[in-house]
Amino acid sequence: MRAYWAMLLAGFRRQATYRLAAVSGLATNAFFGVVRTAIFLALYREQALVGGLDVRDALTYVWVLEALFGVIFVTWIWETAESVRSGDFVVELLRPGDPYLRLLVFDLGRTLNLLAVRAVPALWLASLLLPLRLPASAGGLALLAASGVLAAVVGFQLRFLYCAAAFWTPDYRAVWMLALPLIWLASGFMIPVEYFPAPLRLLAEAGPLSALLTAPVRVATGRAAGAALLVQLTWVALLGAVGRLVLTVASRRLVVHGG
Amino acid sequence: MPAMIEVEGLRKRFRTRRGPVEAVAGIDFRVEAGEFVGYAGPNGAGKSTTVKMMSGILLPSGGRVVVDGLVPFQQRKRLARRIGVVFGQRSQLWWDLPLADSFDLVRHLYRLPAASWRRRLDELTGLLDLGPLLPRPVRTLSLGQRMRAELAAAVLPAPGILFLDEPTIGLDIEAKAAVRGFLRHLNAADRTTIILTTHDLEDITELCGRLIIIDHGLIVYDGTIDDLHTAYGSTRMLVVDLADPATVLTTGPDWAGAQVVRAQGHRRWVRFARDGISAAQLVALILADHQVLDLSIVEPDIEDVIRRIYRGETRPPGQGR
Amino acid sequence: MAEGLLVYLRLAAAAVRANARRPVFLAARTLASGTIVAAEVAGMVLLLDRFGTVGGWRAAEVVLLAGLAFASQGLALTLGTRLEADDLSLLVRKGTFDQVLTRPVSPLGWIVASYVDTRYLGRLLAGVGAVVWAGARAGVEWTPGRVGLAALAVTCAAAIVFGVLLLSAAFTFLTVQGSEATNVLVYGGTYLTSYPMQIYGSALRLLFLWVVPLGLAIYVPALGVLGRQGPPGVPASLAWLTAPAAAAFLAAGGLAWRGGVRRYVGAGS
Repeated sequence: MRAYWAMLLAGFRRQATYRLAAVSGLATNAFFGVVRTAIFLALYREQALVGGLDVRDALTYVWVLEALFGVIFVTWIWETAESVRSGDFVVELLRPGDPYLRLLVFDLGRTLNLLAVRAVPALWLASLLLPLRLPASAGGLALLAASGVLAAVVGFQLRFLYCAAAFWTPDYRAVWMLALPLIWLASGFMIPVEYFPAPLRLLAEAGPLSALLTAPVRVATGRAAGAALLVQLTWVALLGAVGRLVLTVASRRLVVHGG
Repeated sequence: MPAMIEVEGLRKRFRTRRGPVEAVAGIDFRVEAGEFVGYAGPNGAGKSTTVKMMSGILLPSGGRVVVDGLVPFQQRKRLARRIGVVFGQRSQLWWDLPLADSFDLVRHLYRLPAASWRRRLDELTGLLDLGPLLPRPVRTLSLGQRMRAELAAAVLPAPGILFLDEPTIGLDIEAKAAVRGFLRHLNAADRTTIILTTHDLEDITELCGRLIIIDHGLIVYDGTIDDLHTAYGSTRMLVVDLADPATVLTTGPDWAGAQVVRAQGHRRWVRFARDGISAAQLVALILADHQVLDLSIVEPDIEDVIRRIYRGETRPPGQGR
Repeated sequence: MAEGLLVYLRLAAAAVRANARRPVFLAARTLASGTIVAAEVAGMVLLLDRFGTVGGWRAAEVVLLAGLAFASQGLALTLGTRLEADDLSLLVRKGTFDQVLTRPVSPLGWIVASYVDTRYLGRLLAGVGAVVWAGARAGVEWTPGRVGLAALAVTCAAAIVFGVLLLSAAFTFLTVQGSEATNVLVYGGTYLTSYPMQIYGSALRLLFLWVVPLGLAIYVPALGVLGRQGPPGVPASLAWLTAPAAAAFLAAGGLAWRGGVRRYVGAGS
């Protein structure tokens, strides 16, 4: 147990060394947040309520998006895949303990750092300047934080499954690159899922992508927060099981075929 | 007659987090056209900094450097046409394309007339045995093959000066021999001035007529290999097999300090100083009194001398500061 | 001079040949680059479908802006993607930039030519496609004048984005590590100019019309194409300023680059 705690701290500290990147990342988030805010303010001058969301919901969406963007679409997306291709990954399999859990925990340490250093300050500052809809109680804020952490975990799990393609083919990037824009759109990282026409909206809400952003936004605005958290927990469990299975199959393949 | 390379009071100061560091603290030397100079020194001594200043990619903090009549950092592009640079670890070739394409691009880059380029390329292809490699992508070549190709590409424009940085690193014996043979030819036949920065002391002893050693930004030695041995009191070893293993080799006053340092069975090892007695004289002395089956002479390894210099020992008077 | 240019063309040709050796990978990357535009446009259309208009502009008109913005970004990145912070700092740290300096060519010319990235042509094409689609939807009559305005927008905005990349490169030489922050102006700028400028507050308008004149290069010519009048201070007739503003900004970027290289040569690595 202590080993995993140490891994978490190691991940946290590792991310902390990228100080300049943290500042740049914050600047990027701030800029896009400001531009998106302007766009939504202009849009909501035409209509008061769209897809069940009012302007306050939309602004909250914008700033939760900015808070979580760097946490989900991390700069080290390809690390696992690259270590698989280079052969370094074998070391992970030789160590005692659960490799999947270890990878998850280390990644979580890093994303927790991002949440603490980028996400929280950005969201907090925006809440001071704009009429966001955030939980007023300490309990509500705690749930929001939990939702953010769960989103980070699901993010890792999905990234892992994508990197797992590297176990089978050297062209893992090609697949991801084509799918990435669609993932951005489908997970609500371009426009809120609530704006989608009914059939697309159901599709988007049903998949694991909704756990990344749609769920935390709902926990923040209080619209179906409980259901959102449940969705996240369900996907953490499901994706965890699938991920573990994939890793087992992949490791066996690695051992049989070599690096 | 102006020299090919003139360096006078050259300095380079870097600003690091720990404060200003003088990587090159005032060095002077002249290299005449056609010389083959080895440039050695421990890591961080200032070797690559000096080469960078000579090739124009680094601005000196003080002093003067002139290469082939040009001031490097002021006339970088003009100088670039007259020098060749080869980095041991990094490639200047076009990685994914056939080797022939790289040579073609060099032609256009240096604006070489087609006929003379073709002639030179054929010559280099022959000398370095590049024929079968021409259609292959550079990334498929072995390190030895790639290094031969790098050399060809670097000297294709027939530069007057060639700067080499660790060209034999990681190469097997055969590849090293090929590279050294080519460099020797280049220096002898084309009179190309060559500055060879290296840790490989065999490179130095095999190729360089002159050795400059830099340490902590200052030159601690500048002269020939032979003078190096003399200056640092290197000794040679005479190994002699005597007919009678019971013989005791006694040294006399005319042995000039030569000593028997080891005896095993028939074999005796006699250490003698260069400036004391010549090998011929020593052999004559031994043959006069004893029956000898066989003998050989072991030359000193400059590695030992270099190591001592790097450690800061036995600095001869008048050399360096 | 012309023969000097030929060298860079040959270097670029070599780069393209090298890329073409993995055609499937290249095709995938080019397609992916275009898919980003398609996704953004889809999002935009879905958005405006719900709201009707933004700042008084209909969906097709906004997509026209986005098409111009992405096309120019694609053009600029095809030439200058290696100047971005991460890529350039890697070049410097590996010592490749030193090698470039030992060649008898301009280092900028070498980097641009040798690292031409054809996958961003996907973005250029997708952007142009979006402009064509939007023009049809918005009922634009493509007179030679209007086509000229669109071309003006794309080339001038591309020049400005390239100027930003040069500024970013100069900053990378200064800090060695480089900074993601300069990417904000490139990617954020494209995103911002995809929407009509009148919706933004005075600070953003000031920045993107007069300092980094991306808005000027995209928005004003678009006004001409769509037959619209801009807000006070930004009339459609301002289109004449687009080219000079882009040239001035590009020149500033060039100066910054020269300063950056000079500092690099002075400071070493």
